[in-house]
Amino acid sequence: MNDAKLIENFRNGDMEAFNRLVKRWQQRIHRFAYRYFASHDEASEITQKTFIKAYKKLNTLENTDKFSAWIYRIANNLCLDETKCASRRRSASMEALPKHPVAENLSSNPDQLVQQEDLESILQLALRQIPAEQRIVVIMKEYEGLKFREIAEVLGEPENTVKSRLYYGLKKLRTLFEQWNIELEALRYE
Amino acid sequence: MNDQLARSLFMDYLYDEISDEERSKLETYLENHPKLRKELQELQETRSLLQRMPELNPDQQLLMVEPNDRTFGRWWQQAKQLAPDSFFGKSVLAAAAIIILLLITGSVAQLHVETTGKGIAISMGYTPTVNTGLSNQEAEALVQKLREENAATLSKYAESIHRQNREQLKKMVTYFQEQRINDLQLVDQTLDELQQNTNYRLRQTNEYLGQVLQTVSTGD
Repeated sequence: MNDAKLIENFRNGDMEAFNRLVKRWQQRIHRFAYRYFASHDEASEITQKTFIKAYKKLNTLENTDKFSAWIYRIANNLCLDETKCASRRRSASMEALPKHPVAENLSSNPDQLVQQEDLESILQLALRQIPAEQRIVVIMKEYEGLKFREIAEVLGEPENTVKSRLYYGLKKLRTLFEQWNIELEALRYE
Repeated sequence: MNDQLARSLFMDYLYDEISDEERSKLETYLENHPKLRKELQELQETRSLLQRMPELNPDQQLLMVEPNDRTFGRWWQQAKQLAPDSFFGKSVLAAAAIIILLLITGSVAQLHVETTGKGIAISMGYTPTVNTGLSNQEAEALVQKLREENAATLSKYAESIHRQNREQLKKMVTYFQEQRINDLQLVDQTLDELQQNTNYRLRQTNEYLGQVLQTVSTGD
């Protein structure tokens, strides 16, 4: 049963249909929010809020085939709202931010082999250093596998804007890796 | 094509959302522009690195909405989903349902099944229990026994009351006799005291009279 059918059932009073939607989507929304905040607690909170909002607003969704873009849009807006609320805590500039212990370690010893958990930490740290609007596009493209058209739909922006944000996001990530003296060849070690 | 146009195709190229025609044009252009080719290579490396992010499996599940407006139709649909699909399963379920139905009906209607010498008797409703009771002689003996017991009890009770009364009367007589003796002793004692007092006064009077006579005779 596709999302549109589940939404139709939910609108007809079938609460179980909404539960199935939650089960189907919660992992993706949690993953998206986790990539954004690098925190399971915040990701869980965003996921909860996303589905609470979806529950309240699902009747207002006109085109049920666009549920995917709609739910990502809710999650994205909640992430941005949360970022704004915590901006004072998190708005330190790239230069002002202290180096991550893992990054520092790598910087002093670039030939060191990177373990898998370290790699995740480095990538999460790097993602958090780039502007939110670029980070969101990188996450949606790299980890959620959305097409440029779909991301543009979620964000309500032209496709070229999306591509441009992704381009600059990748460039900044590259710059960060170079700044931390991380050799990509070393990171590719299996 | 120029550098700006080539860069605008980088994302489409990297994420394989480019048409064959544009891909061909871009690749041709990059062959003659090593700087752009290097830039694209770096972007590709960055992408490859991002793709090495470990998969994430959130262990906790969200709270689900509890359906609270179950209609009979939905309940029936869910009940039907629980029913077995095979013919054997359905037969067993039907037999079990009939047995349960019979048990419930029998319980409500108070069904009685009895085996007699003539066959099986089935009845519904309340069955009064028949009490066989005592014979006349046994009843008379029982009544007589009860009478005797009652008479003996009454006799014992009357005797007990009589004895109590006698003891009570004896106590009262004793009390009044003691009281009378005390009163007599008190009267006797009082008379003695009165007698002594009178004698004392007489003696004193005689003494005074003697003194008066002696004084008068001396004066003469």
